[in-house]
Amino acid sequence: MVNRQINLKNAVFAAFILALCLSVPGFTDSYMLRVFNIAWITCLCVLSNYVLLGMCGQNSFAQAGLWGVGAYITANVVMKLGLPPLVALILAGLGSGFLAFVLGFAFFRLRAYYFTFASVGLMTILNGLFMNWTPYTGGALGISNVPSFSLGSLVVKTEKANYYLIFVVCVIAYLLIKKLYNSALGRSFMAIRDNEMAANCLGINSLLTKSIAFGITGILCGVAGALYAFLSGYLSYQTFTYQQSTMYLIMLMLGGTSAPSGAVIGTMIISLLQEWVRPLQNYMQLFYGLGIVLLMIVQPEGILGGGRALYEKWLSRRKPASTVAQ
Amino acid sequence: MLRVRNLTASYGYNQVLHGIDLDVGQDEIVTLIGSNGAGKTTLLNSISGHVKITGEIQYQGVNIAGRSPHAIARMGLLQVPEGRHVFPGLSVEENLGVGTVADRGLRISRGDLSADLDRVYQIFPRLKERRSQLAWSLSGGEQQMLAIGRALMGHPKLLMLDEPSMGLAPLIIEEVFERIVEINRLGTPVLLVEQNATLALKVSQRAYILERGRIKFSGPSQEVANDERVREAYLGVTRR
Repeated sequence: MVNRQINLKNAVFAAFILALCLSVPGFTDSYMLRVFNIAWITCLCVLSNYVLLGMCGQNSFAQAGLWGVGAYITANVVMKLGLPPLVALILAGLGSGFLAFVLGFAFFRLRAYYFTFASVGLMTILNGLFMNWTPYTGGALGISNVPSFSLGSLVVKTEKANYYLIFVVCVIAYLLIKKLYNSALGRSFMAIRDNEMAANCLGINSLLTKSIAFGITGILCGVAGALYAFLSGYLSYQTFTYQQSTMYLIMLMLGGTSAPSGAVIGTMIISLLQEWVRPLQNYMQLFYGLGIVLLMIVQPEGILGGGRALYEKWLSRRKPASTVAQ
Repeated sequence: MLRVRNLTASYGYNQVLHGIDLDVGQDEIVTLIGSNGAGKTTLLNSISGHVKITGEIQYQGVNIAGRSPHAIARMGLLQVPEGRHVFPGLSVEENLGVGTVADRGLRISRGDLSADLDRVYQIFPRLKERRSQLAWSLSGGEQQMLAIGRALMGHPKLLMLDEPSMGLAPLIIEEVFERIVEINRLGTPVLLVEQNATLALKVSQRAYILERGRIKFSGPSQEVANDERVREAYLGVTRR
């Protein structure tokens, strides 16, 4: 009975959020809509960070690089091979995911923060590759005129159409991650996060499992890269930088690492904040830095953790009688 | 079913185990007693693949020496490491869910866990009361029960317990040991490492005494418990 009530409440809340997100193109101009589009693409990368850091406990700074791999794969597949955009989207996800999965086997021989160092190295190498591998990445000039996404005769050209495309992909990714959370594989990720030795004692192959987590990260980032290529039509190595990766981490930390909704909240707040306080742009990095330090001291579980604590306080204040009755 | 022959293990230049021979048969509780630093945990870690070793570990006729920990666990040799090591951020039931990997492998779907959960809850009814609580909020005894229960979820063919009494109140220790006997009665052989020699000798059928990396003494627990040297060194009984 109580369970059903909570389920109903959750469903209403989810429907409200969904309606709010779908109505965004109705009340924004095309500039702001572009901001939202980029925010949702970023959200995919931050969700991938949630899988790797939030669930599996492994901190990587290579997400922006994998994002770039997806984008450049898309551009090459569509423009050089002339394959349909949907195929390019899938290949971008698979290619980037495969790269991460295979590299995972090498990287996860290193433990804890040594893996993080390796991922910084990967990020730097990938960025160097984007800048210098001229035949496939356009070198310093980048690739321009990447065609828009299309499915048959349906062309996703306008900002608004792109919004729906990107949003739907985000929702699918979100639901899949929710599913992953409850699966035995997701539980194995969390077992490794909490105690790797005990996980090994229970038969979890931590090298393989962590590589799978990194592979999933690669898939999500690769798909995000493809969407970015279709949306912006222009790829430059300056987009896929180490700074971008740190940004993903800040977004996740701000939102909270305990649930995928934390990734969404953090991404949206920072992406929109960046627009609203554009005059202070030069000082933003400083604020992020200070903000993260303060956040870790005051509310280490991010906005999500803080909100949850407030909600529980409110619940306990509202029903003191029922707790006594129990 | 487990036959260890001439096992040696070293940490760097320090040799910790010097030629250990040890057997665990079907349906028995075998205990391994020794003081701090005798090499008890190292021996368990060697069997479960966490330590590099030389020598032979025969398990159901297969030499498993040198295999990786997860592969050994998948074969049904499950170790409950010293100090409990539950997954603090997961609930009791989620902790138990992870335990099924040893039996069913890494998989996307969760599958039906109710039969396994019921089996574990029957042995540890307290876990059922606490099933949606996060593991870090459990008491020490409950965490130990959870760690053992989690291993049971993987249908162990040999359960290796590393100091299940560590840091627990005497009453709780007795409860945990009663459960261990019950688990064994239900058909799982147990290799028990303990510092609490009195209790370990009481519940086990056979015992090995480990001293500075060598088996000093072995035999039926009753005999070991009555041996003068053992009584003096491990049971705190002084010779008159």
